[in-house]
Amino acid sequence: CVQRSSGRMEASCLELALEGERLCKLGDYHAGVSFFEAAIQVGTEDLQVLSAIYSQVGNAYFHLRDYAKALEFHRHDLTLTRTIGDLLGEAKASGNLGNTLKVLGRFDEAVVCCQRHLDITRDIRDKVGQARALYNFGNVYHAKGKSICWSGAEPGDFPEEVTTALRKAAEYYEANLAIVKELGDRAAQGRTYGNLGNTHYLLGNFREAVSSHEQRLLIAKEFGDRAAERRAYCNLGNAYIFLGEFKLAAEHYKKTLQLARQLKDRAVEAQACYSLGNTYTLLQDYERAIDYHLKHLIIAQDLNDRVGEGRACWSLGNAHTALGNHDQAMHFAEKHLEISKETGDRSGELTARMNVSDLQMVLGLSYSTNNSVVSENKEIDYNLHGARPRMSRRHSMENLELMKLTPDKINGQK
Amino acid sequence: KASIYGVMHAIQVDSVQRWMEDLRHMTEVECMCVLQSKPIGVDEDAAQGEFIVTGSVHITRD
Repeated sequence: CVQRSSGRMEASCLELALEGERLCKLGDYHAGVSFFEAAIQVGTEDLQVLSAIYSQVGNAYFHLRDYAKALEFHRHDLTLTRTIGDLLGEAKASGNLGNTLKVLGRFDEAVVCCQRHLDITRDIRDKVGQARALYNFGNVYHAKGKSICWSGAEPGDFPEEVTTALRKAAEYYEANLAIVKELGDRAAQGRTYGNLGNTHYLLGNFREAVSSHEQRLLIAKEFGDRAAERRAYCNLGNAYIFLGEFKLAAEHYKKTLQLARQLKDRAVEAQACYSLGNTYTLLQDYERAIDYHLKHLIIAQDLNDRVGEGRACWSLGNAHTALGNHDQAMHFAEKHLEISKETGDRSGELTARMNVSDLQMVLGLSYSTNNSVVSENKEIDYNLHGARPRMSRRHSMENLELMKLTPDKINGQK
Repeated sequence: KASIYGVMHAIQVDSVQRWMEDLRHMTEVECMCVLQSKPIGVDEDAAQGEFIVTGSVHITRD
């Protein structure tokens, strides 16, 4: 009896593992890992349980973003499942290891794992597993393409390697779609359409991007998934910009904005306002552009986002310049200068300095030569991205701001 | 005088151009990581044992 109770004091491997599992389900991965590691210390003869423990510890470390540790445990799981000849277990371990290697940027090794995952699921005719393997495969190539994109390539001028990776991603997503459609798994279809749309977008296939995101939107609506709906609207807006369909882009950004407000996501709301400001600039509707850039500015200030605030001031300065409100333009150019200095944005600082000095010249000239300056300079060729700012309005002579900006000229006038 | 306006025109669109350069890389992603779990508990409700990590931040069970 005594012996039995002392035995009860020492928890079994299984009990510890079950507690670890329970804690991980609750999202307490730190505590979960401790119980799992204790369970491993105690040890077990049941290799299926041990495999499950390795797998769960690997996943827990993944959630904790300790990918080196995640890699270690998913490797243990893979080795073990191979040793005991557990094919289904090996497939899962390969998938998890592939995901971990992907996050670590080790794409070539990740591809090997994805291939193994796919081979096994095909061999055992596991359709659901096959779909998952194909999705993982697509994600690895998608991430690979994106990681090279981000490492300084010019847009539209991606190295061959990026294009190859993204094309492969699209192929795997298409193969995944064929299966999840067959299985009638709408949620999985939604995810794949979203990723496929993004892959096409990065490839510059904007029409295909639009049709994928339209499907994603449809499925998001079916599920009442407003976050996914918002993502789709934003992705659609972006694709329409590069198709030169600015009005359609604006419509989609407005939907993004509406949902961002409903979902109380201030950062996304700010981004949508910024996109709308830029889109209306492309549409040469500078009043609306100013309206949205101001909305963006206010949120950026609320969120203490100095970089965003700097961008807003830069955009506002430009929009006001386009309208001929040079004094307002000067106000924002000066703010842009101040913020870019503060944030250490060298190119922003240089741009802002140029804007300030150009505006000083314009203000000075328009003041000294009265009516004539602006009108004689209408015929200038500018063809940047279809934006044609108007420089037709004369600066208002009554504006008092002018005096602060150009004291010399004012003295001269006197 | 004309050169000032030439410069001004270039400047007015460069903030849009800069935005478009960023936009060209910007995508609102779906979940990029699907991890599969091996349940230990017998009364495991998630029979499929799959969970999804959205953008490796939000975690939901499927």
